[in-house]
Amino acid sequence: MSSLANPSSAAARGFWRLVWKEVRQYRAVVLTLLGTGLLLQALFLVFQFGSLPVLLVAGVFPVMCGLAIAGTAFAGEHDNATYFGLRALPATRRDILVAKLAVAAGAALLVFALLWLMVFVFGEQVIGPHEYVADRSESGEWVLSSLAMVAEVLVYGALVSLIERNALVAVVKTITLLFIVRLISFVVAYVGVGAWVGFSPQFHSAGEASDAVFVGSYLLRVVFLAAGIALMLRAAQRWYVGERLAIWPGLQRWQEDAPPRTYTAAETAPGIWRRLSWLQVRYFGWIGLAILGAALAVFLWERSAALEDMVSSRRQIIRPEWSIALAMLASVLIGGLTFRAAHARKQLLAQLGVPPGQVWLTQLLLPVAICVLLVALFAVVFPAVMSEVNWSDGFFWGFAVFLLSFFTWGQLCSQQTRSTLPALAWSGLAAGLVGFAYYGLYLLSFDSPHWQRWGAAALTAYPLLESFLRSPSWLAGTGSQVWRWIGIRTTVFTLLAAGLLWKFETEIPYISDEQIGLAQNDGVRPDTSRFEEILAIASQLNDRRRETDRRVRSAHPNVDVMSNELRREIDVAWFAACRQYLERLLELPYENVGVQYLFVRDSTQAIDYGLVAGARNQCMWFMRVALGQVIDAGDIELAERIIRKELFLLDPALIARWAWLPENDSERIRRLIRYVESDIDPQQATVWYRSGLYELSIPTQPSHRYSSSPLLWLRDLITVPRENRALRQRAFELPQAVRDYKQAIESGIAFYRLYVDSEFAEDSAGRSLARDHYECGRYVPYVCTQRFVPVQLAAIAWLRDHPGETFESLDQLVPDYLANIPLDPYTAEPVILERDLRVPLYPESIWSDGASPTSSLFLFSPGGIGVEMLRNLAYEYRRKANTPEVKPEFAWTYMNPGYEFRILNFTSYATAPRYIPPEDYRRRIFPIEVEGFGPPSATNSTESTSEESP
Amino acid sequence: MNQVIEFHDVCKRFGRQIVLDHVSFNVPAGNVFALLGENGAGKTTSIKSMLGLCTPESGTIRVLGLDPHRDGTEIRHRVGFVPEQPQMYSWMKVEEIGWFAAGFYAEGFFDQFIRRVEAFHVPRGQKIENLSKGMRSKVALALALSHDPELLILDEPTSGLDPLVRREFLESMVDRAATGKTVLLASHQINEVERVADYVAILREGKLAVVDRLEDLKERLAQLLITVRESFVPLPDLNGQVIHSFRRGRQWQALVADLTPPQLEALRTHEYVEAIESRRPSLEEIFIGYLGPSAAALPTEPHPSEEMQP
Repeated sequence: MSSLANPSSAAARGFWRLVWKEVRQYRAVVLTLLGTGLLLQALFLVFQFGSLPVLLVAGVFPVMCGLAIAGTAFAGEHDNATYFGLRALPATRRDILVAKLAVAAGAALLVFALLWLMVFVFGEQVIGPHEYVADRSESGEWVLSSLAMVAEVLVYGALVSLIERNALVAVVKTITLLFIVRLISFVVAYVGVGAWVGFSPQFHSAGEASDAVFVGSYLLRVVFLAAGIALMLRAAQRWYVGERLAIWPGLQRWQEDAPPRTYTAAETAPGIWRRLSWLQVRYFGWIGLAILGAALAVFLWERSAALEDMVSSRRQIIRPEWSIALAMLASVLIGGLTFRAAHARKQLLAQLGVPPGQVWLTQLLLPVAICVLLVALFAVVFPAVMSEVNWSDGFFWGFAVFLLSFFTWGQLCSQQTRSTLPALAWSGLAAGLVGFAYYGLYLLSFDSPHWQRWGAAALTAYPLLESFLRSPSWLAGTGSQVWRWIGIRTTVFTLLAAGLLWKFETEIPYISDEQIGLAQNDGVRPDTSRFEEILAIASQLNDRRRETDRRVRSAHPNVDVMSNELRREIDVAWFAACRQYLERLLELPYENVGVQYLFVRDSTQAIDYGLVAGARNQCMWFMRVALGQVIDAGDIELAERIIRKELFLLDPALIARWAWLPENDSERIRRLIRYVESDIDPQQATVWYRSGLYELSIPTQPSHRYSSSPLLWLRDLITVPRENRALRQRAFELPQAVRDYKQAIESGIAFYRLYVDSEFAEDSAGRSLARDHYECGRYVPYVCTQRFVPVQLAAIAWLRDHPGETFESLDQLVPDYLANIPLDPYTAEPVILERDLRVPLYPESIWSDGASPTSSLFLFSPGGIGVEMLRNLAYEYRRKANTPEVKPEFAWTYMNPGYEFRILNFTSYATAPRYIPPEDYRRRIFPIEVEGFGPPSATNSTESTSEESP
Repeated sequence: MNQVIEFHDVCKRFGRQIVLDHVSFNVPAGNVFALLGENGAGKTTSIKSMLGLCTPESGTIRVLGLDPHRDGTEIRHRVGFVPEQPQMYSWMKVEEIGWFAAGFYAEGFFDQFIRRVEAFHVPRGQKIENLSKGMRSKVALALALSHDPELLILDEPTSGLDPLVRREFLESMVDRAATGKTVLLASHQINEVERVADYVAILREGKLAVVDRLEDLKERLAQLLITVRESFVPLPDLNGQVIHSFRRGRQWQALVADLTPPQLEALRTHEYVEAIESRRPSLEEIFIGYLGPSAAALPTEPHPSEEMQP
């Protein structure tokens, strides 16, 4: 042995040199992630973006760090051509593996520690001390979830990295593996628990089932992790001797028998089309296969009859927004990788004299096909899954063009950037700019939808043209100064356009005061300067809310997890403040504060005055609850005064609640009808419509889309915190509520529905209207709602005066209860009344054309007539394939036989206080004995009462 | 003689491709051993197997008396290795990579390394990515030699080196062998190998074509230039000793093994033979002879001479 060589003394030193090497290699990655994370964290904390972004950064960045290092640690040695050199060192397999994993874990934990330290030290103002504790019911779940995810990415990243020979592919496959593991864990636990509960439902509560699903899925993840560790150790053994781990030996043999990967020039020359295409297929094939596999999984999941009858928690996995985001991400990635396979072979292709256009076209064909496949998958598979999304034709094609634009810009970036990661980064940046440009097009196109279409086409086609024209210089490997400037100009142009659009959006009012006055038909609106006064009150109110929050929290310093009761205490204090605010508004010296005026005047002011106008749903909801308390307290005078301020006419449910109060008589209601009618003269209502300002198509209250369906409540069952058993018990009542509601429907109670025909898509000047116009979408529902309010009130008054009867048409209400039947703003025809409708109870059902949203069934507060705008009544309603076809009748209704008021979306569900009516509430709200309508029978009353208790 | 490397019936395949097909040879200590073969013949796989970086399907390998599969790390401690394309971390500086590698060896490695790179005139503060191919080869050589290994394994060692350094380096290999160290060379530079190699092994398509002391091989083989009377006359029968032959017009060139003087005399008196020349073959001729198409497969029609080139 050599005198210099002394392995035993050098072993430990060698290990630390390996660690040093890894640290040096990934220093930039870690510092970048850490710097970005801290910067974002600081921004979010200083500007108080709320808890979610802060938690997201602290939770996700360590995972990204672990993924970036572990996922590339081994495959990167192949990429950098250092694999053989590293192994040629006298370093043991264990040393290499441990050094790489230790650096990955250390870096991830460093990022984790610093980001969470920042949250702990500075985040109290934004998040509050109770939220980052280890409690799944709170956002503090992020801490443990983040740690678990870090462990998973370290193990799975290292495993995949040990098998793969391309770092990028390894990272993508690691992410895929993570999703697959989570999906499988959840599905297996879900199906298992479903079977367990299904066989003996009488012994289990929804809470237990929910617990079991969560515990089961977590345990399965642990099992997968253990298996991953074992596989990783085995893979490290194989990696060390230059072989891949064969998880499936048959597949490995098949791969080994496949044609060789590298080709000489002589081999490549003949059949260049075929060979170029083959290169692309080899490079992109796995992406296409992954997409197909995912689509198949979604398809099977959707069609899974076994899961259908269980609680529909699948929507928390296959959320439409996730699918959309994933499709966009895939589009950016595919675009950003389009020319990746060609860069390495560019020189060879140039030597072979392959025409640039041919290379360009070949590079594009398969990625384009994959993008088209993505779009087609959305057309075929996802609309059925995403039943809550409004997949109107325009939306779908818009989305398709959006995806293709991402792709075309990505391929341009890919062509002009030689390395993969910068190409992907540029691709992502381009996608952001494209998205912004589309938003600009969207805003600018209110005059003509064609403008938007042509703009979108240009935005999609331009990068294709530029990359085609750049092909010769790209293939020759020569940069073109001209094109570089054009590229810069493109970027500058995009930024400039985005800036202009932003300016347009923020500074130019969409609707003039005169037009608004015309729309409101009173010609007199309050002086806008007075709104500052209201805004000041609103600000005080907001401050008070924060003070309340702080006071309650400081009074309970030892409470880590804010209990429902504590939250309720805060909310009660807040409601009290809201009521004071309402009363102060009444003190303002002018009538009719003009909520709608504020709301539609322009978007910026609508946001600024959000507290006043109720543009923010949460604030509006608090106000409504406060008004509800006023009403339930029997303070009719105050309620009427508030309503006359026009503040809350937007909500038919509150109007109805007010109208059903026993203290109200028909005359009082008539008075209110007259007041409302005087404000929205239905005979003049077409004037503003014909002014061409508004295009009417958005369904009412789109923000409720996800929370409105009772069966979607069931989804929330599975996400109710396991610690909060009382809340879970309440959640468990919901299926019973659905059954009761179904029974009520089938018992023949009359349901009325008012609707307008939004299919009318031309104004009186014959111009076609863009239906999805944003501003009008915000405004019109409230106009429609307001027009329906008199009808609703009139119906209530009529029913009071005609006990035991139901009216067949609105004509019966005119003129005693209603001066005129309001006009449909789409058609200028009277609004339509239907009755005796059946209500679909299955939100996962689809329409016959497969693209329309399913029904949303409101169980609103007691009484009232629903308001809805339907897009197309010709759709045939049908249930899923494995259930019998039902009658092609369907309807939406807000008519509610007496269920209590609840906030249904998940985020607010956990914290929302229940509206608890007085003891004799049910008796009081249905004072009229009408057969088939109105007050429930004695049996129903008993059931309803039992349902109220949590 | 003490064997530094022992290959016995070694087989290795990648998928369906057989890379090493029952290969057996020994490398005696204190010699320069040349491993020759065309691309894909199995040279690098053999070297990887020696270093424990690749596991053969069957057969046994001993390097410095150790089993590479079990004692790979120990072998790599005692062996210096220069790969065909030096693979180093491009972001490291020259002295950093020396420091990095020194962690795996005993004290003194780094000083030796610095001395060597300075002798090679490689700037020690330069990053690897900024070095030329030749400079990188020098760094790789310095890394391989700095712990004074008992066995030096070189895969195309002079690739990228300038002629002066190449000559100096090759001579140093002979000096190493003279001090009892062993050098294993895998190279395409036949002329250089010929100058320094004591032993030669030629691999062809995974099989060992020949392994012998170079001098013995040259003694045993003869390069014949036979002029026949007519161009259609086939090569006279040489009792199956022809390793490789081809015809150019009326002249046959043949590499013949173990040709005895009586056999040569008989050939001279053959009725179709007009003249015959016999000489010691060069290593290149031996290499081409063993790697070229077999005599039995030769076409009868005259072929352009360039088609016979390796």
